[in-house]
Amino acid sequence: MATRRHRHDSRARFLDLAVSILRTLLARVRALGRSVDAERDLDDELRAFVEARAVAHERQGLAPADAKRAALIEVGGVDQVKERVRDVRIGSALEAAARDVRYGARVLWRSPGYSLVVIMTIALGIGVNAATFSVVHAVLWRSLPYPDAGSLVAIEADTATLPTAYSSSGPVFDLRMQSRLITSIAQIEGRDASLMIDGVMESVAAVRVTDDVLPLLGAQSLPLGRPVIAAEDSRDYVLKGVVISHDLWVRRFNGDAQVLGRRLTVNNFDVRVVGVMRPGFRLVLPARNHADESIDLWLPRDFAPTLLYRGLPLIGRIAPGATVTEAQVEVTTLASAFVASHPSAYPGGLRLTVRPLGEVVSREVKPALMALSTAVGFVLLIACVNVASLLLARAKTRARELAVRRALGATRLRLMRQLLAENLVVAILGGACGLLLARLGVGLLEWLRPVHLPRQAEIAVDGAVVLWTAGLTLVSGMLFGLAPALALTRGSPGLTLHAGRAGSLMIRSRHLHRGLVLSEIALSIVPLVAAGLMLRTFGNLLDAPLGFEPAHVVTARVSLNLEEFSTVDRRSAFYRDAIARVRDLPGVEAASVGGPPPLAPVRSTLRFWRSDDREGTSSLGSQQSVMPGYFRVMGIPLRSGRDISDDDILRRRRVAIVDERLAAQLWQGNAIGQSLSLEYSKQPLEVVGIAGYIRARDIRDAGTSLIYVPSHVYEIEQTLVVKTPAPLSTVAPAIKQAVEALGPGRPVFAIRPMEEIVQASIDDTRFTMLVLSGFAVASLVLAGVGLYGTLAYLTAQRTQEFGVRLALGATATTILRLVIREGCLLSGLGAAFGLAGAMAVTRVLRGLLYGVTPLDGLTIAGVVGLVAGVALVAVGLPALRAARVDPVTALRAE
Amino acid sequence: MADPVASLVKGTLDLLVLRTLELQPLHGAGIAERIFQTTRGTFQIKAGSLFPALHRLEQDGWIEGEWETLPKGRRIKSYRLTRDGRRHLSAEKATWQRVVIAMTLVLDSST
Repeated sequence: MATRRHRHDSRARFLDLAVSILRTLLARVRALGRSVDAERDLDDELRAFVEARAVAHERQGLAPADAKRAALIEVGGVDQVKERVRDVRIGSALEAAARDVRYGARVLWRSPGYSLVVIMTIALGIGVNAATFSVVHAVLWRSLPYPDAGSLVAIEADTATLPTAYSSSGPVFDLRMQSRLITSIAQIEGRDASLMIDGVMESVAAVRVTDDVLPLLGAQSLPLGRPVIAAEDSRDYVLKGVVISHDLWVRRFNGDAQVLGRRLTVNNFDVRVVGVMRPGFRLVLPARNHADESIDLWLPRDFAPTLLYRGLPLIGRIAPGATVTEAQVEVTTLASAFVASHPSAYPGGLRLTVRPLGEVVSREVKPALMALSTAVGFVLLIACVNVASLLLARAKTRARELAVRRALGATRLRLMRQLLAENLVVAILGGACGLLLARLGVGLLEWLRPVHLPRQAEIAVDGAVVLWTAGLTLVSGMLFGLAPALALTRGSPGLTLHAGRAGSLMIRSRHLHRGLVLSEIALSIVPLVAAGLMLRTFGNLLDAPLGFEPAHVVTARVSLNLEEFSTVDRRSAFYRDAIARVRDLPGVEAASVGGPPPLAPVRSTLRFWRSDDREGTSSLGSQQSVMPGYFRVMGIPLRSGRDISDDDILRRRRVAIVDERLAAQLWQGNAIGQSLSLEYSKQPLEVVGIAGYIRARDIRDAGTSLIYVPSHVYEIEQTLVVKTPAPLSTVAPAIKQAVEALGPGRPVFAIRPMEEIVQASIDDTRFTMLVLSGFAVASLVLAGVGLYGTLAYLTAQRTQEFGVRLALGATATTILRLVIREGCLLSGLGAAFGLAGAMAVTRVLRGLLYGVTPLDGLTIAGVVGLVAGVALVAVGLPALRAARVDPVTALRAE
Repeated sequence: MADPVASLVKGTLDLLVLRTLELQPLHGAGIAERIFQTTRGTFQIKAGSLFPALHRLEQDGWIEGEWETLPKGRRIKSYRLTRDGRRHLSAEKATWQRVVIAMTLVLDSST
């Protein structure tokens, strides 16, 4: 918290500073003519004048008093004189600025092609930065949309081994009772809910919230009704009352004020509406809460006295004046006290971590956003280098003009000021176009909709973005304008005029040009390597061994009404019937039921251990409920033993199939016939089969072992899995119809191909990859254009030299070799610098990569090849032109 | 000529001031007096023209003001020509001479 507050403060300070600078500037312009010192000086000066005149009049014979009066009359109104002097002061400053800007605009207007290239280059550089800043600002920096968001925290727990399944009281309870610095603790868990109103069914986003949640987030008073209260709205895990979203209220109840007390069906429970949420209320929570930002249903949830921490982060608020560090110290003490008083509950210890909520919300996307921000920084640098070298290339024409003005008495400062003003005009036009581009970019983001990016609704090109863009525009204007301005105005005024074609200047700027070419190549390497690494990562993820076959598998969720199917046997019978019905559909090869399917967004973790090993350590795994045939549909190989049988289901046998990883870990592979104990389950399970290992949680392989149990052992919302080569459009309605025809209370929804679920699970990587590639392409194009422009210009500069060489007997090949050698040398050197930079920078990406290291040889080779190709074209074209020079024309060129 | 200064060609006052300061640094009244004497009373520069001109020239960097403290504790600002001002003056002088020659040619051409 302390660090967050600190960062917050420094940001606020930065804004304050910006505002104060602006204010000072305005005041300075206004006071330019009337600063205290200047006023006193002016008074003194005029008084001295009057006195001198009076003395002169006295000398001509006037009495002192008359002389003074005559002098005053002569001056004619001291105040008017002062006013005119002030006007001069303000006027000349403003006028000079206006003149410079006007002149700059005229210079630009005279060469529209050049201006367009320069402005578009800057616009691209600024645009991608402004767009990225909009995202970073909304997602990482802006405080959460809740009152006093700075004091909201997430409390996360890490437990060591845990062989005891139950504990008498959860650490959460203890924290709530004893913590002084954490004033409230709440728990939120997102889930889907099937909602039925007047017989119309829809699947909506819901959350289960403890009583503290809404007050904690500043929503204790609702437009209608009250927040959910566990004690009143939930009894023995049966839902009684819900709060509905404003949106749902308008959509399904036409904003009826009599909605309180209305009956609806939520997940087959009859409930009443107890409240309507504020319009536009968004839930911004850590990804692990699995809660959507816009929630339609708020369901009550109680802190069960037996609650064990199961990886669900708690949110809380720290007391006014307390810091996160202090709260952390207190919580650590409480956690160890808890462990000490409940030694059987957490033998390996319990570690609670308090972090600012905002930090936890954006934790997962921060590395990707940092990578993107770095990449756009490089794009802007390349754009600036491009513009700088274009400006330098124009020096040829401008040098003469400047030399003449210099000779006519313009000071160096004056000329530099004017050149900078010209560049500022360019920068501001570019920045304005850049803002428009950023608007488009943010629109594109809405279209791309990266699933895992929090707070997307808040991303916009707003005041802060505009302010930041203005600052960036000024800085880049200075950046690309300063070097050419310095180079152009250096040297004594006579020199350039003498040199006729401004030769001395050209020789000096050649080095600068070469430096620019070099840095352009170096700068473009970094985003290219980053994008290359992400491309490789994405490819690796697509090729990653999933352990199952997603092709031709269709999944469909089935939600059972618990009143209709009140016993385990009735539910099992339904699943058997449903499987049989679906299996008989035309085109269906196999069908089964399981839950949750691989890569489902929510998958809980639990501990397991060998039943015969009470002293041993437990491991974390995940439970998977299956019906017979699941492995065949999913294409998961059965290594040994047997599948779950219909007989197991009928006799409610406590059997399990474990994956090969778990089997090797607990029994060195000889798992068949062994007995396995699970958290939350009193009787052990008998292992009857060993299945192949699958990546159930994440394609990147989270290393989660799976324990497959029959659906009567682990009851959870089930998913139909169907193997069929038929297209989704024909098979989806058929599946839905086949199951729902069995009777009411068994809705089938969310029918999706398994391949789509696999794709969706790597959406965040795809997004980062796509955006980074976009930036990389932008920088490659910029660098290529800049490279070509600069090299073509440098080569054209040497036309005369080539003419001499040709006249002295050099062949076209010699010239070609000369030019290409210089180009290659520059590109090679640039690439070397770029690679060194890439190695330093791509470390940011480490957490995003999969199956490749930041020093991936293939990527580096590919990028170098690409840049070499672009450089070869950029070098080759001017070289060919140079080689075709006619010596006579070339010599005459001077 | 009712007010010779008022009808001066734009920039002439600047030239007069710069030329006056080329000889020696002077304060405001000194400049006015020197111009009055040198032009034998043709140009009598008023404070309302002189001071704005001085400040403009100072901002352009042709002349530089410097404060001196007199024995009686009074402060007085005297101006001197800068290097840039000297360069500017010689350029302006050349221009002026061209203008004078041209004007003379035109005005005398009737004879």
